[in-house]
Amino acid sequence: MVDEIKSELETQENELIFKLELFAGLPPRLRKLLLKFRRYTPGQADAVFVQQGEYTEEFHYVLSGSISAYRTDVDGKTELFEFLGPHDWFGEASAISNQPSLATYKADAACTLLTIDGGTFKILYKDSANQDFRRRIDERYRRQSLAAHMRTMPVFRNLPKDQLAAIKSHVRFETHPKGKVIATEGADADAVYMVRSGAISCSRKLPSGQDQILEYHMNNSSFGERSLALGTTKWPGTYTTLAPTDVLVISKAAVESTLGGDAKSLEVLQKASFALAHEPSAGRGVGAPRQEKSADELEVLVKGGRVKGGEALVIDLQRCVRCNMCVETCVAVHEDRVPRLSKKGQRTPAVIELVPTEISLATSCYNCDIPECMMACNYGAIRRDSEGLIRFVYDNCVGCAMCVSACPYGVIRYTPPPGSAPIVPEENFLETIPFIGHLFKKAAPAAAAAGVAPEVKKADPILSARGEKVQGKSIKCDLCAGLPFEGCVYNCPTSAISRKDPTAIRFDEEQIHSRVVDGSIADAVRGPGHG
Amino acid sequence: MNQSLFRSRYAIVAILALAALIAVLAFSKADFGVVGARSHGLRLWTGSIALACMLLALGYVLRKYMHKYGYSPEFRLKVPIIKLEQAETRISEIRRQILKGQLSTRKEVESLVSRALREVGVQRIVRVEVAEGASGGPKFTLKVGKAFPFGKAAKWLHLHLYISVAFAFAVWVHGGTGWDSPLGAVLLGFSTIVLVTGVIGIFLWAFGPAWLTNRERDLSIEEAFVLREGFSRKLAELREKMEPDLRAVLDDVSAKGADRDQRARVLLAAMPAADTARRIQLQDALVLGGQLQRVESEFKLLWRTRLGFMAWRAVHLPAALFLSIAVVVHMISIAVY
Repeated sequence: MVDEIKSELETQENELIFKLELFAGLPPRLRKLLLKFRRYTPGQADAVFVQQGEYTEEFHYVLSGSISAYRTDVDGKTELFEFLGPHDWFGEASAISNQPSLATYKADAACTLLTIDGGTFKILYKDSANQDFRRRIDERYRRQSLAAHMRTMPVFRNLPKDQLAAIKSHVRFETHPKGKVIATEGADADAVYMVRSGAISCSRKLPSGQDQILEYHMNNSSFGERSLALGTTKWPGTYTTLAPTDVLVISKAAVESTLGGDAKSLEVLQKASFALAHEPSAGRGVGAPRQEKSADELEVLVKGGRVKGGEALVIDLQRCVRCNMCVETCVAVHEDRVPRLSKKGQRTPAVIELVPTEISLATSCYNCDIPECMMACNYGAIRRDSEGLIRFVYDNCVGCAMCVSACPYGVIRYTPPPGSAPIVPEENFLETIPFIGHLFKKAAPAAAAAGVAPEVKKADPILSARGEKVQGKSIKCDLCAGLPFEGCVYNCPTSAISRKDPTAIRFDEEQIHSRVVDGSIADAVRGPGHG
Repeated sequence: MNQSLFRSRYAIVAILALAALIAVLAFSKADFGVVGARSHGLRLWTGSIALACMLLALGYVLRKYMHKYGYSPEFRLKVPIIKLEQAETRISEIRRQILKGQLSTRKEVESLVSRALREVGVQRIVRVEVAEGASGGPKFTLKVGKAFPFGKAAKWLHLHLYISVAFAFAVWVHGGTGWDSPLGAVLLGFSTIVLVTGVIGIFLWAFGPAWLTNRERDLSIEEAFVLREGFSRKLAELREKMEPDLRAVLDDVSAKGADRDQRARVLLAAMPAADTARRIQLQDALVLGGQLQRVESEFKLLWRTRLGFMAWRAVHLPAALFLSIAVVVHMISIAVY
């Protein structure tokens, strides 16, 4: 009996959902999906559903009650910009683009929301048989959220509100299939693009004919700002979609015609564009011919995933006396006492200065031509700089650690969160005396011996090379940025460690071949995760 | 084998120092070891050369420890990243000028680069190498690198090695066979120990890494160390969580040595099937113990090998320390008496 009533109620509820205007046109398979993954979010008066800036992927449809939406603009002023009642919705920008919430939504009275997770929402939004749903979502997004979303682009950050509102009416919503070339290297840049969902790569042709990835653009990442600068600018690379991609397109002509009568606003925009025009453009290694590799060598390189390397930190194991000076120097160079260098790495026979030896490719950043960390970062926090080096943009880093797991070489590390003890504690000078140093080590605190958790000494803030606080975020070798040396290379007493272009390393083909033949290549080429 | 340890331009410096000493001996027509008997001036000369050599040799030690503890002057040269980016922008501009054919001579390029670095204020941080470009490409290429202002530690080690040899010779010329006085015996004795252990050390450092690398087939010494620490910690944590009787069983099995695995199997088989939680706990601890034992034996082997080519330092460093103290005492005594 109870089951029958429950089933009856569910059927009624399902029928009610599809009477709602937004969902009325859903085809049967999407209806099933919605019913499977929808949930209801109740809220009392004054309950805050989402805070502005909060990372969320949920889409909310108001079934009952009323909600106020507040937004704090760049000038710090908070204003009430909308009342939402039944049949309104919010969260579409977060659900499509993983954009941190653009406003704060607070219940005025008890209300109930129909909540859909980001994954389900994207399927509903992108389905070609569900165009009406998409149109409605886009209309409301253009009306209520587009200006705030555009404000997240550095070029529009300081543009007056009314001008931004005028430009937003000219924004085109475009969807491109995988593999579509959006802009070509060397052509005139004529628009600003912002990725709503999907991924776009920007690559340039090297003289050798190879493509070098300059950057990836994923959710909420923008490019083409330089097109708004004064005069004609060229695309620095070819922009190609890596997956079905939704973009916002703001053409230069539209911006100029909108702001044509307002010289001051146009100047603000052009200045911002000029500043951004000095963003990543040129890669390293241009003009450096790549050497051809023999088949065995290539096999080893491919197995180890090293062919992607830009520059490798090479340890000559026939020279390395394992004194650990490289790691100790790395600790000394960084105020946070967190070493960026890990000596583990792939091992392979090679020839250095005509002497057969065995080398280890230590896990220092290779500044890969195709950086997987950049691809994995959903927040645009990893970029290639003008020198071709991969750098973190800590303002964008949310500490999700996706790059840590994506890096094929295990180069990126996660820093301890705020308040934790430093990884390498300060050591007493006497502890470093060879063989008898351990006699001077401090005894374990009594509390620890008694099984009580020791009090954690508050560590100094962990700073990036730029001086940004990076606790709970990702770090990697910064090449001792700002210093006149690379600590590990500088302080190795036996010249065992050096930085080399992997293509310039002479691998010992005879040794490699013999190991391939006898099947011990796995020993010779240890994967980055080994040990 | 690390052949680079035996090739250094500092060998020339050492040879020059030796030549100077031999010349001193030849011109003074003094016999080896009896310099002081002829002239105090000669003794001061040879002593000064010995002291200078010793200070140069100590420079390596000083540099190494100053750097390790962050007191080295290079740390004060640090510039903000923005300056490096500005320099890179300027260098890119020069590259563009080269590409357009606006710069035709190397001198022009070098002077522009040097001016750019100076104006931005990174001339002590960045070094730019100007090289001839490949045919079909730009006429010159610019390679940006670090300045390494005081030279790499490896160079300082070479200086240390070769100057130390000259130092030893200078000491012998200076002191000769003066073992008769206590201070003379101390100075000569420690000099000999430092030199002999140093020479042994060089050969061990040249060959030792290859011995160790050949043994690191399954695990590197660093990996073995990290695994050993990790397993020990996990085992200790697990042991803490165990009930006392189970802990006693674990300790008993761990002490069994070669019969450990057999004993563990018997114990696990004897445990009641219903006692799943305790059984899993013991099983985990035994597996961890087994892994720890294997890693431990691997680590010990590698550690012994490393010790084989690092042990000379146990004599070399204290002897060098005592020698330095003895030299200071010797100089004070000369000044006083």
